[in-house]
Amino acid sequence: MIGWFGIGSLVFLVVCAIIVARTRDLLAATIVFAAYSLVMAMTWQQLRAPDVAITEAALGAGVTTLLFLLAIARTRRTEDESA
Amino acid sequence: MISVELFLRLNYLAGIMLFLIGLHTMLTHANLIKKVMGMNIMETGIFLFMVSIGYAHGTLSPIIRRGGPVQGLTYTNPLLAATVLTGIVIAVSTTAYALSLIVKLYEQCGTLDVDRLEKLRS
Amino acid sequence: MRQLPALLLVVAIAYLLALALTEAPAFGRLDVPARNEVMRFYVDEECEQSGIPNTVTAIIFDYRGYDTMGEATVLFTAVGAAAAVLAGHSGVLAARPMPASDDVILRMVSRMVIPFVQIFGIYVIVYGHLSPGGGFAGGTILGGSMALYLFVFGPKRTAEKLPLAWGEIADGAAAFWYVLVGLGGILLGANFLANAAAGVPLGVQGQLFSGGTIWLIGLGVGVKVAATIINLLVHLAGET
Repeated sequence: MIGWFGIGSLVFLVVCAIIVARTRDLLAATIVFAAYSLVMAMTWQQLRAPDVAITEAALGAGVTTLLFLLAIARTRRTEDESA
Repeated sequence: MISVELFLRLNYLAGIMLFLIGLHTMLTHANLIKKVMGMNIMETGIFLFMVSIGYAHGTLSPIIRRGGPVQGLTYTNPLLAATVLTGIVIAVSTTAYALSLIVKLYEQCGTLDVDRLEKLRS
Repeated sequence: MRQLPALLLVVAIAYLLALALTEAPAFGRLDVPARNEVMRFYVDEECEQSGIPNTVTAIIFDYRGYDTMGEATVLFTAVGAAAAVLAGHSGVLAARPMPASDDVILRMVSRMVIPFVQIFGIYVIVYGHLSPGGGFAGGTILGGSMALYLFVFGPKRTAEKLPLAWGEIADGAAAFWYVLVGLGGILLGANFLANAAAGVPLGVQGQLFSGGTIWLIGLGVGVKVAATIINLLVHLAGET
């Protein structure tokens, strides 16, 4: 697991989490969250947990992203409320 | 501190850092949807930590053909994968309910900012 | 404000976790305390006792089937609570309906892709005890295909093809099915949710119809998760 792919995916995960935390645009945060979920699913597969990988790929990159998109469509898209 | 020992525990360190990033997001940002995103990052960080505990170098995933485990092959820990599987589904359930509450709150109060909601209540 | 106490709290928890990290064994070693006799029991004895190759599915549906019943109840409760909260559009800012997509490429590709996704989802559910997957993963894939239809063709056409009443009935029926299978164990003379201890025929290992109650529970959980996902998304989309 600790090869260049493993280290690269862990760094990518932490960078994605920081981007999700710092972005003011909630739609951009949702898309980055979907990418984070995809790399997390690949990490599960590298750690020899295929059931968790399939479930995370379908739930994280699929259903959670859709839920956030629907919530953002029905409320407001940006975080600050000065508009 | 920055030594070979830290390099050997990179997965655990990544899980801890994801947990702390999610916790900080939940505590400081005022928008409710951003708080729910922080909760999700916390939960996936914990799942990364748990699955990393169950892994060992040179092991296979625990799908054992007929006849029992083959001699000389080691398997990863199936208990941790089962627990994380349950955890992922529970995380999605709580996220869905939290988002439906947020949508209803926006319809009733017109704002998603925690500070403004506090002023509305008082 | 909120920034300084939050930062102090995060730094304190980071310090405690870093202390714990120095005590943790190295990643990927074979002599860690996490690989104790419980794990060795599951790896050695699972094949004969439950009759299926996939150890994780056997743990979820057979050895710890009671916890999975609790998890199915949590899914059921989440959908019920979300539906109860989102009922009625009486707010100041009631939402506009969700629009259907009028992109030709999106519609054509979705029409071609959705049947394959559903076949794959049903495959992962039914072969959950022989290959990685199981009820939860396959049910999510099946629900994801219906979510794709909802997003491309809009809530009105989705309500024509898949009425909300079907989804709710499927959700409740699958939860009830789990309890029925468990009660079958009592009727056969053993504990609740007993599999081999109740004399349920385990079949030949590696065949499709093997594992006794594990296969039945897996089907029920797959239908339940798919119904949960499509119910949640339709309620959140706001056309009901």
